Amino acid sequence: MSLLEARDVEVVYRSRGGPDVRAVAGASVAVDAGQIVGLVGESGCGKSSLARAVVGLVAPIAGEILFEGKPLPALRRRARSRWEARVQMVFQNPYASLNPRRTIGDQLADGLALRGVERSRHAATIAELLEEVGIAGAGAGRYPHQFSGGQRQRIAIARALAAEPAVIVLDEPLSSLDASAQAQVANLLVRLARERDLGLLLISHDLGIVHHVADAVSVMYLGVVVESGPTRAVWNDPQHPYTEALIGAIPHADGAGTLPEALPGEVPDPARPPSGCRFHPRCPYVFDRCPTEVPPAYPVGPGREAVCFLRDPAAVVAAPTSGGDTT
Amino acid sequence: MALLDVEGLRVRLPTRAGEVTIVDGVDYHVGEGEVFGVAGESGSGKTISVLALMQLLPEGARVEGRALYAGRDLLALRGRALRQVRGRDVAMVFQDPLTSLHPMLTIGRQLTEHLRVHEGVARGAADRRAVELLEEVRIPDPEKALHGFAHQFSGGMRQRIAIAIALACRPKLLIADEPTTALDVTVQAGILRLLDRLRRENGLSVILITHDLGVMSSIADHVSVFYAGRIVESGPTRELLAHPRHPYTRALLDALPHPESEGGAELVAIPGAPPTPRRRPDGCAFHPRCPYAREDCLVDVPPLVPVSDGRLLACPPDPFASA
Repeated sequence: MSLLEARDVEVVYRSRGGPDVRAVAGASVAVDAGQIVGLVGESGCGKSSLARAVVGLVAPIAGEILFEGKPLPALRRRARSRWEARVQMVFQNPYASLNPRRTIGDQLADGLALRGVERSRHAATIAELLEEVGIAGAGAGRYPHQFSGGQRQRIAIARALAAEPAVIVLDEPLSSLDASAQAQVANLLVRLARERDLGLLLISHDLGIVHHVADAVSVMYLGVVVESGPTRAVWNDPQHPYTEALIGAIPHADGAGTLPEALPGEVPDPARPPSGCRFHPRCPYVFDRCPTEVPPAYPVGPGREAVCFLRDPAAVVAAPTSGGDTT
Repeated sequence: MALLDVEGLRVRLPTRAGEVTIVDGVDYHVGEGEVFGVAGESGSGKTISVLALMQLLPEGARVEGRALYAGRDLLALRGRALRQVRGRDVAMVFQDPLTSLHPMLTIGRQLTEHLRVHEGVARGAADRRAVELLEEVRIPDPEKALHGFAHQFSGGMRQRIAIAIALACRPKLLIADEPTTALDVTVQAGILRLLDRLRRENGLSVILITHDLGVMSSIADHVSVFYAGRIVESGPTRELLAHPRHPYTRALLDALPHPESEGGAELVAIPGAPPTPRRRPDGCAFHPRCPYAREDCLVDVPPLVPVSDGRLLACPPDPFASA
């Protein structure tokens, strides 16, 4: 049993006058204690919708969210219980997620009050939490605008930690930051997972940074998880053509002057997904089965799955292998 | 020969607490058909330094220096002469195409406006040119796209449309400010390939501003690294990224996840944070964050001096001279 698990989750947005948008079309992801799981994909792939469903910010229309084996209900009008609050979320933009009119100490105190920490111990605990994310404890009386973007994101993480979570879902926590601030936050995430035995679900469009910090990775395309497995194995030898394209498109700062590989076509409208394999109109290896049948998840190695007919062990077609060379 | 020569560019912006120097004495030149990269973190003055070239700074900005484009100083142009250069000879593409494209005008109208204003092209001919431009940036079904609006296109298509608009009058110089930052990597790769093709086939010169050294590596011929309003290092991209000489350039590269690393290793963050323009340290602005700082670094502003073939460095200690 995983600490936090989303099973076959579907998220549908209704739009007036238009077709329903199935942003998440049956996706599963699981996080264990002390583990960092990366959820990677490009704009419109449904990764943020899945993240929001996992923490209960949107109610999935199908599938289930299990925390410690028990169903985690979606957010309602009344406050979350202490048990529910052990699943926390950190958002992309710390300029928007922190309250500009309250000191950061006050904002951290909310989490402490929620779990019944005595008021007399608030100041000391807030200072400890800030120190843990690399902010001087004396900063508790200051306001968010007095900090840089990277510091603010670390404060947002400290605020999540105040509730003593078992799991934190982080939606693009690094993408608004410069490289150096990104490195600081990435290092912090690794340390939190190891030292606090926290499970982290890291949503990101940046496979490069996810490769660096995540133990396992799931790659999403148009509402479905197309490949999942241990990060290193997926990075070195992707088994789904989309994962391969995603890795090939990352430019490397090595001065070699190599242009990254472009993926032809556009991401289709999630309201009108292609038939069969959703990636088939853009796939360089497309063949006759792809537009007509929906591929299942095939096991492709220890702890690995790929949703691609090329990996069908029963197939007679000579499947091109995707090789580990990604440079 | 250089298409653009920027000398001693200095920009001061008014703020409530008085004037603040954003760009503090910058020199560079951009050759024909060259992609000139401007790298640096947020707040380093990259964007302001190019907005100054286009005279797009806010009211009250004070600009010093010269920017010679084909023998004329861009900074001294006024009125008609300025309008003739801006948008025709020198065009610009911004980070977010959703804000730079007009939401309520058709793509066709935005594409042909330049042609009709700058070159007096008739409507029919302008429409034909607009279709060609959309084909050039690989927009599917260009005739139909002319009648579309910005919100009907994906982020990558919008940025390609913004580039098409910038290219309408066949500019010689394109200023692209973080053109791929808001885009996904697979889409980014398409834009980079497009810029590379325009440079090769049309001899377009590009000033590319990006904080992403990976993007820089794949397309720029030459890179200047900005820190706190000054250039701290510049040189041919290949050598500069493979053998950075300035401690700041090196630190920026060390902060990136390495593609061949096995993962899990600590990324090396630069201690501290970049200074705000109001509180720039004396001497070398990087000295409070630099492990190689000497006493003179705290006092003297290091000059940007040639150190080897085509390379300039503003770091007297030069700790990586032999690297």
